[in-house]
Amino acid sequence: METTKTSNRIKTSTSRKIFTWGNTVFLTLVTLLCVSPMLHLLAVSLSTNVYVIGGQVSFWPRGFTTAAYEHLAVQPEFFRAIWISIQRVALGTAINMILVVLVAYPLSKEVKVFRARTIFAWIFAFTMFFGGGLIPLFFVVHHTGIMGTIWALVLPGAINVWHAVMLLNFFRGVPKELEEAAHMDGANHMITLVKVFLPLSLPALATILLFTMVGHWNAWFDGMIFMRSPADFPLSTYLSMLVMQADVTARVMLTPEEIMALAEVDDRTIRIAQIFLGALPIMAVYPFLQRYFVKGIVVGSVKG
Amino acid sequence: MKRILLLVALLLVALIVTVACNSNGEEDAPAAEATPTPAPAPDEQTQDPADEVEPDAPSDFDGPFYLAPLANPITLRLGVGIGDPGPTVRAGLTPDMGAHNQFIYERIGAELYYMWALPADQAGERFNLSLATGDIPDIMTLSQVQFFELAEHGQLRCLRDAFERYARPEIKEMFADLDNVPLDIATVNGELLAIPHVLDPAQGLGQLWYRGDWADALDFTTPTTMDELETMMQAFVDNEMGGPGTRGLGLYANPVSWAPDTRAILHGYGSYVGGAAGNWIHGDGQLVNALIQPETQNALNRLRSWYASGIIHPEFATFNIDQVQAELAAGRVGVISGEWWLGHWGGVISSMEYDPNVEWRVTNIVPADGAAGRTIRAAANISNFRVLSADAPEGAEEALIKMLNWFWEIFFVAEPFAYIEDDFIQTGEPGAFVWNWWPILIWNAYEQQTNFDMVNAAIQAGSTDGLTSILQVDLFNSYQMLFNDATFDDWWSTERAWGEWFTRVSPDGGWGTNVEIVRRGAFIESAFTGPPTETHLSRGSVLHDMWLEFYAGYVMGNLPESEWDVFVASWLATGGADWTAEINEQFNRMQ
Amino acid sequence: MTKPRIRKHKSGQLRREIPFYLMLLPALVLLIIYSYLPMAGLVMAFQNFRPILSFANSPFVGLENFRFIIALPTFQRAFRNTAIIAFWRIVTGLSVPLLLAILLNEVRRKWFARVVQTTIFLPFFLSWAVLGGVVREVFSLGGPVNQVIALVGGDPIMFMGNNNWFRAILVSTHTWQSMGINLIIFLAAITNIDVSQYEAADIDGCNKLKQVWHITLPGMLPIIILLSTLAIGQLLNAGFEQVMVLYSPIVYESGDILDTLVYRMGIGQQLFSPAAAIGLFRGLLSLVLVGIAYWSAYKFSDYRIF
Repeated sequence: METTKTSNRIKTSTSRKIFTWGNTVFLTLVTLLCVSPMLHLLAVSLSTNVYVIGGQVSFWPRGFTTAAYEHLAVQPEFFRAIWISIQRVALGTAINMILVVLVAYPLSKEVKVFRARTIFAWIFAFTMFFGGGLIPLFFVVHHTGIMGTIWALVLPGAINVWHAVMLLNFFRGVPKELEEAAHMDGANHMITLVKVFLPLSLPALATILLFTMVGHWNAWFDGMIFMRSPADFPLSTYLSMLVMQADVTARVMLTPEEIMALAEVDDRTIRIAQIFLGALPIMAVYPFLQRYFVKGIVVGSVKG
Repeated sequence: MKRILLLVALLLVALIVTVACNSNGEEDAPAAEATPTPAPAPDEQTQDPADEVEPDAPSDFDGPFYLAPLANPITLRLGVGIGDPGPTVRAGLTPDMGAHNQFIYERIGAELYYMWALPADQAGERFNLSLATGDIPDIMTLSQVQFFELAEHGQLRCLRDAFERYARPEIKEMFADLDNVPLDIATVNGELLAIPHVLDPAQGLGQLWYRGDWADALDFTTPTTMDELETMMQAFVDNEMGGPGTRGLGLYANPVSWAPDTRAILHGYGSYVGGAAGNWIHGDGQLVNALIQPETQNALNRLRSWYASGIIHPEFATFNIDQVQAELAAGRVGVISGEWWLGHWGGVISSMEYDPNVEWRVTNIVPADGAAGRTIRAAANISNFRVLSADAPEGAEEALIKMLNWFWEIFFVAEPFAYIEDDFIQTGEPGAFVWNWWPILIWNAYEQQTNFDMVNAAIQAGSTDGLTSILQVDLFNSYQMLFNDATFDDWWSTERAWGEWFTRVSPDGGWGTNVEIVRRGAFIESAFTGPPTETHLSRGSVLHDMWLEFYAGYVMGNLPESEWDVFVASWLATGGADWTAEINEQFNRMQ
Repeated sequence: MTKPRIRKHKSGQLRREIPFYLMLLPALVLLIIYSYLPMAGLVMAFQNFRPILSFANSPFVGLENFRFIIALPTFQRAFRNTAIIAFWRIVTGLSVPLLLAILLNEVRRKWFARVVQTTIFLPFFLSWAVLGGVVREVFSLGGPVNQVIALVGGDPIMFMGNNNWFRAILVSTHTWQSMGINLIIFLAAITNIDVSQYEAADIDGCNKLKQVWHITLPGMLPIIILLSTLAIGQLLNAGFEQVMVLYSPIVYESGDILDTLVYRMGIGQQLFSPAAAIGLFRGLLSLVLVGIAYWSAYKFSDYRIF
């Protein structure tokens, strides 16, 4: 996006027009491509199950019905899972954001200011490449006594090194003069961080905030491993339980009753309706954060 | 500055909710975390008025001895995989909340503590994690591999005494009918370390399902040879019976598996390819793997010609089960092969919902060479092992056997309605009792056969007298609904009723065909039932991959016919030969 | 930038560094507990780990697990597929969002830019278990892609069962699903470029293409280098879940990756140790590659990536 002042100065040439037109068409196509699966799911969730099983629904409902949503409205476990997810996102995001800022700030300093920074940077980076795997992590979570609680979903992943690396690179872009001016005024590091660095890094912070929230909202595997029962599952764990097909080929020997239950027509419209609804809350956050990605904020606030 | 405030506000909101969660989390923590204290004395249990009901002492108990409660109540820890609870379950219920817990506490005197209650696939994963941390449940359900591993490390309790003393006669009889083979398999070094869960060997017999309405329209009778089958399927395709894209045979990537597979065709050629574990059959003086026999190549050649002539979908090898189900549901498939319950499978039922004129029929294996078509039956059908941890509290053996006895009492004994109606559903909330959430259960291996016999007798007699389970009555009602215009409130759809009745009860249906196969002896028996061998464990999946890849390429015509010999040679070289040797050695040792 | 006033003697510097240590402390504690402690579990790559024996009692087998994996007839193929798929995932995963970010930056209608930006992120909210069915349908013989091919007179292509196409399907659908993430980062980087540079370029009569080449791209270079370096750490990650829902035996030749190979081997018996060995190998390789990238960036442009 150009600011109006700038664009007025451009001589609107023919080639520019062609570019603008082509660009709009291209981006519209990309948009359609990306929105199509959501539209498909919406259409499926509003269709009669038999057409869905038969693969007859694309972007328009067939045998229109809202039965799936009516069914969901009285399902306590779906809303219970959403509430657990909201708690997890709030708690997890708060912890992650505080820690990422506290890690990125010292590591963004030059070696002569903070001599051990490179060592610490590698200590953090090292964890991006090596993990002990599931069993040792389970061990640790078990012995730190947070098994089955919301802390088991929040603490093991509280440090996102990837985000910290991104943020420290943004911090480096903050003009040194501003930092020095703050120090001259007698501000300590904490105050400088809050008053100078954070306001100047809003696009980066907003980006990381979004990633963190999405990350917590989408994470499902830890819920399966650390929770005791589906009643404690956050939404994405609950949803993945619905979409993951039980590996029936591995369980060939079942009682007749188990076979008959597994063989039954599955209610795909209800599953899809839950998946569709499950994506909505976090999507609602996006437009709110989006304004910070838009050009001009950083420069504007520095000048203002 | 405004933006900073906004961000700070956002963080604050996050923090406030955090505090809320925080207190929540701590409230939850003790309940969720608490490592249960083993076996609290009954007088210490004062948490809940409902829990305070003292189990009757054995002396006051006037029922049969095998249903008597324990003399001293105990607490048992368990982890369960959640089976599909069916549609009647109360929304939001999980096994740790089900009504059976209360029942077991009151009637047996065993309080259950759930270490986890997770979807079946994750429960297996959690069990391994729990093993690694050394904190295992008291009662467990194990696979064959797990069972032998735990048995070998002395982690399991001997159940012999408790079984002899407390097991109800019917359970002992069932094992006796099976020559006690399952119990022998579960006996390690003279100790009975598990109660095996046994199924009817007839369950896995192969059958051929086809569209009766299409056959009638084109004047075909039930196919009795492979050539007749081919002519019929080709006619389905050529006449586009299901519109453009109609296929004769519905298949997906997996040749021997759940739902539509190739087994009826393979069996027609005398090829008995198994799943990943393989089928071992008698051949020139030793056991051989059915996969690499020349019969398999003959069957594959036939499938190959069907692929070329459009009877099989060009993309079948890329399909997952949803995709072949979609083809079926949309009415574009004429023939499928599989087991007795296929008529109840989602794809078949959906095809009938989609078009009410659809009619499915089932028949035996059609032979390729004029001889009788024979399918294959497992010699013993053990699905898993019910065991007790060596660290389980005293009296746990008795509790385990009593739980099996009670399950049998509720589900397989005459007059079961007393319990169902009086106890569970009335005392618990509606839908709070789920049959397959019973923590440790034993199936009557002949339940389906019994249902078949009794419901058919009741239909003959025209009355439900003598039926012994709700399921049997439901099956009887299905028949009344389908053929005598009976109506029931709030009940199965016509298609569902047809699926249940046709697969379980109809003499022409799924189980009826199994009965006929068994009566005529139109099956061979797989020769090996032992535990997996070393090579099977290390190379089994590689060999299976090899076969799946070869199968797809060969049927699609990407590989020349000469590739069969190359495949057999590399299968043997990659571990197949070692596997065969190990199987024979083990087989000879067991003889 | 030298600051003479903090150049005192060493103890003074340490005292000034204390706030940095305090800031790092909480994160370090969590890191040690939940990242470094579990790393002790890497020992199982050298054991024949059985859950029942746990870490203490499982027998040590040296490099047996590595030998076992390498000796698998399908290992080389899976390794090659993993590297090829992961490489192209990185290339397209960075270049496509970069191109989109530059194009999006040229859009003048703000609402349109926002709509585009939001929708590009949408597929990321759907798991592969859900998207798999959609992708299979789209690329099937009767699907929309083949309908377009038929429209322009081409022969239908069996994308999901064709070893020449399958990797391309994996890479392109992965890029499509996850490009929203890098797009946002690139857009954030563009916002950091000083607008006055463009104004000056306009006055000098530079056209848009030149401005992109001489101002936008150089301005984004640090973040491009950063993301590329971090992506190198993913060089042996070809997307387990995605491959799992899209492949079938017919495309093992081009689509079977290390993770799916180990997964299939684990069905029926849990192969903890070989899986751990692959994880360890992957970590080592990533560490070496990222280390090289780190030191070369430092050496040639005096820039520390992290």
